[in-house]
Order: sequence, then structure tokens, then C-alpha cells
Amino acid sequence: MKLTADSLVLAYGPKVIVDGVSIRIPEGRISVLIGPNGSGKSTILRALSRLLKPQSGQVVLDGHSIQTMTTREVARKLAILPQQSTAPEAITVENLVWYGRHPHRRAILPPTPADRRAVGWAMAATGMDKFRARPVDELSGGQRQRAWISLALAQETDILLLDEPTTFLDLSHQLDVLELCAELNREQGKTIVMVLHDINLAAEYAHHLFVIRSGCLHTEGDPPAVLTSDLLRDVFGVEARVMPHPVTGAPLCIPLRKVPREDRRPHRPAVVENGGSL
Amino acid sequence: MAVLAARPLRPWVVAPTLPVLLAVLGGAAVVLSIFSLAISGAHLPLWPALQAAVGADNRYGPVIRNSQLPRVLLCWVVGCSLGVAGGVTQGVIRNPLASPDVIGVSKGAGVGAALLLLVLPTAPVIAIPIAAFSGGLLAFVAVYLFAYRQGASPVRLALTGIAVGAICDSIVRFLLVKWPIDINAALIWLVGSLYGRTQVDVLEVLPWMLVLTPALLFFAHRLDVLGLGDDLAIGLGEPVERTRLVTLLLAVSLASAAVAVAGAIGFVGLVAPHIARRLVGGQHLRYLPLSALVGVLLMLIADSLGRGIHPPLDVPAGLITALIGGPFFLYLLARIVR
Repeated sequence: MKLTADSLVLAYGPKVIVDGVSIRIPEGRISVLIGPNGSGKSTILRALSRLLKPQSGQVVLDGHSIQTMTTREVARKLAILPQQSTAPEAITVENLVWYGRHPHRRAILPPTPADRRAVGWAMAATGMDKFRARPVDELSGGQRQRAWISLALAQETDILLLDEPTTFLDLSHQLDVLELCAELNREQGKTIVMVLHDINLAAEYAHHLFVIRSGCLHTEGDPPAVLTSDLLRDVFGVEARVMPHPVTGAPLCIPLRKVPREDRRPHRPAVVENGGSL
Repeated sequence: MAVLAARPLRPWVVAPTLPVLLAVLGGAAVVLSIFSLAISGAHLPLWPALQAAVGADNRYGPVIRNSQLPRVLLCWVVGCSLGVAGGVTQGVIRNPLASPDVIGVSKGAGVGAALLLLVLPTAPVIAIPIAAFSGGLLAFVAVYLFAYRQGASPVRLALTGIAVGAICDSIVRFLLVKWPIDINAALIWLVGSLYGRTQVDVLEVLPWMLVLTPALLFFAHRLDVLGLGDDLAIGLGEPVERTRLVTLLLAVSLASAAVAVAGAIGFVGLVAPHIARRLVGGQHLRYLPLSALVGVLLMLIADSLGRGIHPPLDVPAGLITALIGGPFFLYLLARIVR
């Protein structure tokens, strides 16, 4: 299933956050959007998942503009896990995962065998089946994130978008979530798109990196090609050494010091005012 | 506001199952209804009145049937309507302090009714519910339009509702000052009372309840999904903005219909859903029916007390619900806002 964006212009009110980004999400791979805070990477993910309507340009899912599809149609093809989600109080893991069947169910009809299978599979795939009767509020941070991912899996979509799935998790739980994503990609062939903050984790798990800077696509490609000390200086403002990871061989960035702003190569103005409206 | 909503309230008891609760509360409501039939400002002797209430043909029969029965039936219809409308409003606004009052409905209905009662005191009685209903619906439309900015977020709905409610309140006060002669009828309506209601009033509000309550239950699953937050709900394929508008409109119509015949009875729409959620949790399909029953019980208690507490004075039911609801509200605030 193809997901592309053509010259997206994204704005909150009069403030343009993303100015003319076109991207093509590689099918069946893990793509990660990286970039400094406020660069617009989460905004792009929101547009890809039709949570934010572009001012101009369009997102095309499976040959159709995502804005012309009903939100229900989209939900059967693409699942999005927003940054922070609060579970209803005292809800069990299984009941939370059942929400994932919402786009497939009819208002008051009882669940079908296909629904049951999908929920069972989604919990098994994340290893949450043994916690199915547990209240979500009693789970650890990492387990909770797994429960949310189960919910998204129960939607049975080819594409899974995750907005900063590792934020607020300690290192082992971060690895736990990313390993799960890698496994889902390997075994189910899911197309996964994530926003991550940690460049080294992104380098480790991504097949394809999109580097966002000031609302524009700076570079894209596989991690070894993209992650260079030039890029870290220009985009993140950090003087860094990049070397192959001694065990995995993925590029490993070791930051040395902050680079003064004037030493970075300019790219484009940070925020473009939108024709002075308002 | 969202912070308030996020903080969980622990259930009071180890949950009895929903059917048991429905049966127990339903039974209590039926028993209370029978007693309520016999409680009157006219000093009916309890035992013969009770007999007449359950069908015996004695000399109290006509009084019971003509003046007591409509009030008890109205308690059911109004309580159920307010309980369901309040539950849906709280679910959609995602705020435990939301109720039809908060999104301006009761206040708007108050303006409609006060306008009619004070400015056109000669208008036929039948026009009061129509004026109140239109006022309530209009107030909601105003709230929604003011809150709308690329969608009407729950927080904006709540805040706009409070603002519009305040404006409505001041209009009512102005009307009361300007036309003080007919102030009495208006005041009683504004507090909310079932005094003097007849079969006609019951038949006016009953269809709304019979149509809108099942319609809202039909949306129960979608309301649950809305509770996950806008982003996730959209991600799950729910057209959030449309569902919010449709369910609020249905709930507002239901509350307006109830308020139109019973007056601006407060706190039932706020308290009933809370009690129901404590008992069976936050799933709408589970707690809305229970909230309806709790609403019925509250109305029955308030109206019976109002009649029995100081006869022959008929204390307006709305006064008593506020008397019960006020302290409960304070208790909620103390528990939630730490």
C-alpha cells in the first residue's frame, strides 16, 4: 500500500510549520523522521495520517487523496498512534485493544469471528495476551506502549504510524518498543513510519531516514548515507563524530559540542509567515 | 479542564453487575413511585391513598390519577431525560463537571420561558414549553458556533457554554426587574417544579424521551471512542466533529424537552451520570441506562420531599435537587481538584 505526500504546506493558524514537503514512504520498510525540536516532523506525521489538513498539497494513500476518503476508510488502511494517549479509567488491556476494531465494526452488531481473531492476534503479536485482563493503568510504561500498539495492530492495516513512541520510556523500554516494531516489520511486512528523537536509535532501526529541518525535507536515504557529521552540524547544530557501531555496524553519532548558529550552513528561513493574514 | 477529566475516580464498591443494579434501582424507583403517588400537600391519608395508587377504587382515586400520577410519570420522563442527556454531555465534553446547564441549555430555556411568562403573561400555557425548548436549542447553537474554530473542541465548548449561560442569566434577571408583576410564576419555573403538571405535559415530553434515549444509546460505542481523545478517535475512523455535533444536538434536544415542561431543574444532569459511572464504570452503553434510572430516583425523591416536607406548601423539586446536588458538587470538587 502506497503512502505519499505531494508538496505539503502545513500550518497551525497563520503560522506555516511545513513548507512544501514531498515524500514517498517506502513500502514494507521502517521509515523514521528525525529533526530538531520544532522542525515539523510530528506535523508531517499528523498530515500523513489525516489528523491535520494541509493548506495545500495532498497526501495520497493507495491512489486516493486522503482528504477525499472517509476517515473510516483511511482507518482500515492506516493506523496512527498519537503522541500521548490516555486510556479510559480502569480499562483492561483486552478492552483497550478492542477499540482497534472500531473502523471494522457496525454500531450495535456483535463482534464477528474476524474481530475476535484480530484482537487475539494483536495481543499475541505484542506479547500482551498474558496481560489481557490487567487494567492498563497498572502496566509499566513499556507494557502500556505495547498495549497501545496492540490497539493499532487490531486495526489490521498495512501501514502503522507512530508519533514518538519511545518518549517518556527508559532505555530498556525504548528498545523493547523498537524491537517490537522491527519484528512487526520483519514478520508481518508492515510499513512503519515513526518520529524519533534519538538519532542513534533511529540509525539502528530505520531502513530509511527522513531528515526534517525548519519545515523542509533536508535529506533522505538509508542511515549510513544520511548520517554524517556535516548533517549533524547543519541540522542539529552539534559537532559530532560519526562512526560505525562496533557491534551492529549502524552509524553511531557521538556528540562533541554545540555549534554556534553562525557556523551552520543556512537552509531556509525557519518560519514563513503566511501572507500576513490575521 | 482536561486535567480534571483525566483524574480517575475509584468506584465506591466492588462492582455488582449491571443487571443487578438496574433491577435494584428500578425496583426502588417503582416502590418510591407508589409512595410518591400518595404524598400530597392535600393531606391524603397514607393507607387508602396507597391502595388507590395501586388501583383500588376509593374516593382518593380521582385525585391520585389526575394530579398525582402525572407528576410521578413526569419524574420518570424528566429524570431519565436529564440523566441520559447529562451523561452524553459529560462524555462528549470529556469533563466531569459538564452538564446541560454548562453548555447553556437550561439557561437558554430560562430566557425563553421568562420572556414568555413576563413579557407576554397572557400567552397560553401551552406556549411555555415551546418557548423554553426553542431557547435551550438556540443557546446551544450559539455556544457551538462561538466554540467552532476548525472544529469545536471540548474545552472551548465548556468555556463558551459558561459564557453564554452567564449572558442568558443576566437577560433573565433584567426581565425579572423590568416586569416584576408576574415574577412569581417565572421564579417557580426557573427553579424547576412539577406543580400543577397534567397528563398533557407528560404527553408533550414523552415522545422526545422515547425517541432520543434509544438514539443516544445507539451512539454509545462512538461516544466511548470519542473518550480516547480526538486524535486517536479520528485514527480509529470516527468522524469526530460530526459525531460530537450530532450527539450533543440529540442530548440538548432531550434536555430542552425535559426542561421545557419541568422548568430549569438543576444538578440531576450533573449528578446522575456521576453516580452511574462510579457504579459501573465509564462505558456509555453500561452507564447511560443506569444514569437514567438514577435521574428518575433523584426526581422522585426531590418531588416527593417537596410535596411532603412542609404541606400544603409545594417546595419546587428544582430547589431540592439543588439542595442535594450542591453538596455533591462540592464533594466532587474536593475529590477531583486537589
